[in-house]
Amino acid sequence: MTQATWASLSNHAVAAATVVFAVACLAHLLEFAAARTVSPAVSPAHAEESALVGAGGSIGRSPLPAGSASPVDRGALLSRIGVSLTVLAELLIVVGGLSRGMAAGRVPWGNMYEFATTGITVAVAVYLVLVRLQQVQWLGAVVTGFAVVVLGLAMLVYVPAGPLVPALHSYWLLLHVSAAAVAGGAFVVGAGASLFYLVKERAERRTPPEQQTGGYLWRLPTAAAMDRLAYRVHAFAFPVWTFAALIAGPIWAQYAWGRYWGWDPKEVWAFITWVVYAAYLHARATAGWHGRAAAILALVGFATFLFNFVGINLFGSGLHSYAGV
Amino acid sequence: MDGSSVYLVGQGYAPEVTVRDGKGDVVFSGAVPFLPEDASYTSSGVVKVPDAQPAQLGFEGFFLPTLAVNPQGVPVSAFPGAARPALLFFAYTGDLGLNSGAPQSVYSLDKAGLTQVRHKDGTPVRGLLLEGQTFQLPGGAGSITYDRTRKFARFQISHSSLKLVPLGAAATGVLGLIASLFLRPRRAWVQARSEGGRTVVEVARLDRASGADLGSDVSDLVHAVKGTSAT
Repeated sequence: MTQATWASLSNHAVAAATVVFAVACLAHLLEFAAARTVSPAVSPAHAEESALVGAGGSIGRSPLPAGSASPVDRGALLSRIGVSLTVLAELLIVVGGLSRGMAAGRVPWGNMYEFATTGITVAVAVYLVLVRLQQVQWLGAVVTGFAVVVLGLAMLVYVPAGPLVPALHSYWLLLHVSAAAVAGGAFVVGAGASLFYLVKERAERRTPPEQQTGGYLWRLPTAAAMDRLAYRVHAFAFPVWTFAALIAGPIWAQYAWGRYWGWDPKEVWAFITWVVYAAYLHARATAGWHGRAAAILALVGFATFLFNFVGINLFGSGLHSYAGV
Repeated sequence: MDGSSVYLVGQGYAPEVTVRDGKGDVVFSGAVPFLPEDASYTSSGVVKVPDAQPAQLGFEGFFLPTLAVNPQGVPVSAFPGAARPALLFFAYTGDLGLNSGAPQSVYSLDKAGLTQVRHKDGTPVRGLLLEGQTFQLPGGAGSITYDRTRKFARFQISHSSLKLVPLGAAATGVLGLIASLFLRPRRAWVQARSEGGRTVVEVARLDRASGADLGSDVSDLVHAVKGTSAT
């Protein structure tokens, strides 16, 4: 295959992945909607039903009895459809990334479009692993929705596949960028979990226990379980981010630019993100700060991460500016 | 030095110019570094000639490695290589401000004491020189010759013999961080007291980090206690 056909394959695969993510997101939103009509009377089946959702992790197993169309079953089916479509979209975007690399003759991490597609690939991979391990299908709508938005925006900064600027020719590109992408992907999932936690925690506080039945929210895990998941994901992401932004980055900067740390806008914001997430991890161990305040800190950290990726790339200057469009 | 790192931190063009003053004496000759401003190496810089008589001369302008004219009629550099190098400048006479002792940049003119050289109709004199050409300033104020094109490069040489120390410290720090995040210290209490002939055993656990399932922990501990007391 020529470079042009690789490039066109990549573009089609990414476009197809975007569409499939959108359909997956729709399936998860319909799952929300299906749960609205679950009457509290059905809720004694709650435990059994959540086991069914859990089984969605192994896709395609335990098919529903034919003709069963109760809202609960429909919700479970839609959840499985959503996860299956997410797997399909992930495969498509992996194809997109690989063929982009083939077209450019290098790892596809040289500009903002490529970072966006790679970042989403990793974020969805983290989510799918957690679906397998922890049954986090409830994050589906947020993760796929985020993927659609980011891939759509990535089209705005699309550049044709091409060679790298000289400063990027280094194996540190592999270490620094892949670690940053892994941490970023985990931050996406962690932010989704923290967001759900805030919603669920508020609902748990405001609804008397006897009314906590029926509807989508009460079929999700408890707020405490969401909080645990958010913590685990962030605890994984934080050391990876430390390595990517504060160790591998400066070492590469030393080779490429002759100094470890130069307060380049990208460096400053990477550090801000690090500080906020460090505050989050500390806050969880601090009385009065754990729970809601910590979750808000996690979302603030995610906002600084996003600003570093979008704002600094598009509006900032500095040595990382080739990472822009 | 062995083990030193040499970095090329900047490069650009330094056109070599010769300036004659109103009397015809050569008052400046040499290469002047122009700072690159874009990917085509459109570079800006100044030539300061404090020795010119009767008044000091200053030139401010652009160096274009490959002269081209854009659709708006403005000269631009079309290519970073020196294919058709040109020097584009405005001229100033008067006091360069060098005698006041105040520090000033070698890449810009302090125009407080300078007046721009103008044609009789009042339009500013604007010079465009290709390699080897000479421009005569009006009114016999002098001339500037663009002799040839040279390049400059900036190097940084550094040697850090102990750089492995911070690396080791950072690696240790990350290992410690991982340990603090993933090792979960917990406390367990088993308290036994005699109460009216019975032995009451209390079991408690405290999690020092969040994220653990203490309920099952406690029941495990209770099972363990019951197991030992049975034997």
